[in-house]
Amino acid sequence: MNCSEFEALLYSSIEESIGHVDAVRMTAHEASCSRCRALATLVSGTEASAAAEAVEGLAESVLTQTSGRPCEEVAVLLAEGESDAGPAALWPVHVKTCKECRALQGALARMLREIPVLAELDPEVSLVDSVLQATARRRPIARRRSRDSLWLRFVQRPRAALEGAYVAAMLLLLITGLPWALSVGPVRTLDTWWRERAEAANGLSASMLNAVDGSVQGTWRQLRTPELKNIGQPWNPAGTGSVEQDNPDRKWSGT
Amino acid sequence: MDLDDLLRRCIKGDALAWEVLVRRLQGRVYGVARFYLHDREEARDIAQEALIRVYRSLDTFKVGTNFTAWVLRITRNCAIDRLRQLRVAPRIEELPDDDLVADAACTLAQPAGEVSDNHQLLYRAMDQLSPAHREMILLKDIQGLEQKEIAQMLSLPLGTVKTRATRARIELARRILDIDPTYGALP
Repeated sequence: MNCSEFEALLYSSIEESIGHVDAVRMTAHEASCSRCRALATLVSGTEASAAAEAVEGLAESVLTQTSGRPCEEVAVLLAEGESDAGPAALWPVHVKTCKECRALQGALARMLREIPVLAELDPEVSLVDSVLQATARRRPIARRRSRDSLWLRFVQRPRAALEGAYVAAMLLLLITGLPWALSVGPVRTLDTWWRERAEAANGLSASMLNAVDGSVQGTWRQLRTPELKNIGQPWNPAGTGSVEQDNPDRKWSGT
Repeated sequence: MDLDDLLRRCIKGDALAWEVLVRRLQGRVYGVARFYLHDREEARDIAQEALIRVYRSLDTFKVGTNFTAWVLRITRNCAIDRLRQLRVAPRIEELPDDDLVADAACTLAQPAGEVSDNHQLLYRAMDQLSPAHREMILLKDIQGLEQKEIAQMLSLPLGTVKTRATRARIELARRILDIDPTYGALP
């Protein structure tokens, strides 16, 4: 077996299994040829050993020309506190080899440890006395709250709206009254009260009001009655209808 | 004593509990007030006003929710109100012109002598941040508020708060490294 034959079989052995005879022949050649032995070690070596022997800066060079260095993505993960992520996290691979990100990781960790101390500052002169003095004269909060909550509890009951509507309807009824019950009950009383108030205000006597009332009603009856009587009667164009008989003041103007 | 118990007693009108609460809160309230206001006396006044406002509004606080966030929101509102007044009648020379809230923190009040020298580096680095990032660092990393609470406080979408908080941390860490490259150096 020569070297080129060995190389062809070597790459074939990675992709698929080779026969027993070829394997024996390869072993024999590998033992006698140092170049092919070195090649076999490189090709069949593990990923870790290959990475260890990688050319320095190669990965960075490739990343620069392809996706770029993922420093910003790593910075976001570090700032979000993803540095405690499990073994699936990929950022440690980058941080291990990136000086800037390693520095950022250290700075973030220390900063987040130290910065909460700044939460409190000493006001030098205590605020307590002035605050207590300003709040001392106010009535206790509990009393305010109990009064407020009593009212809120009353208003927020499920039936409060229904009860409110009922009370409002009753009040409306008392004030305006029922149209078919003007002469009975509280409506009558309201009517009377209203009349008295009106008389007192205008200086009119009850008799005057009644007289005016009667006069208006009588006139109205006089005007309406003839027409009412004519309802259902045949039309008389000669002008001798009952209108003139009942009401001489009005003239029939038929043709 | 547990904060919730303390609050319940305060709501019942227990003056002793209120004093304990004031003593417990004053440092943080003053810290936030000092962040927004340059002047030490102004910051004290705002801290006091905020604590009084907390007392007056205690009956509206829902026990069980984050009390600190609530107090800090009140403090921030007081500080912004004060800045608005100062803007109308400026008393501090270098009052900002643009957005009030963002610019309120445009120059971090460096409390010289109020903290140890170890923290001066953090203050110097924070001073170089953008106002929005600085406020995010204050609320999230210094005061330890939840992102949801910050979103509510600043009226921002939750996604914006998350992004801004992450960016602010990165920016601050890089500023610190610019000042001191050995800061947090890993072995």
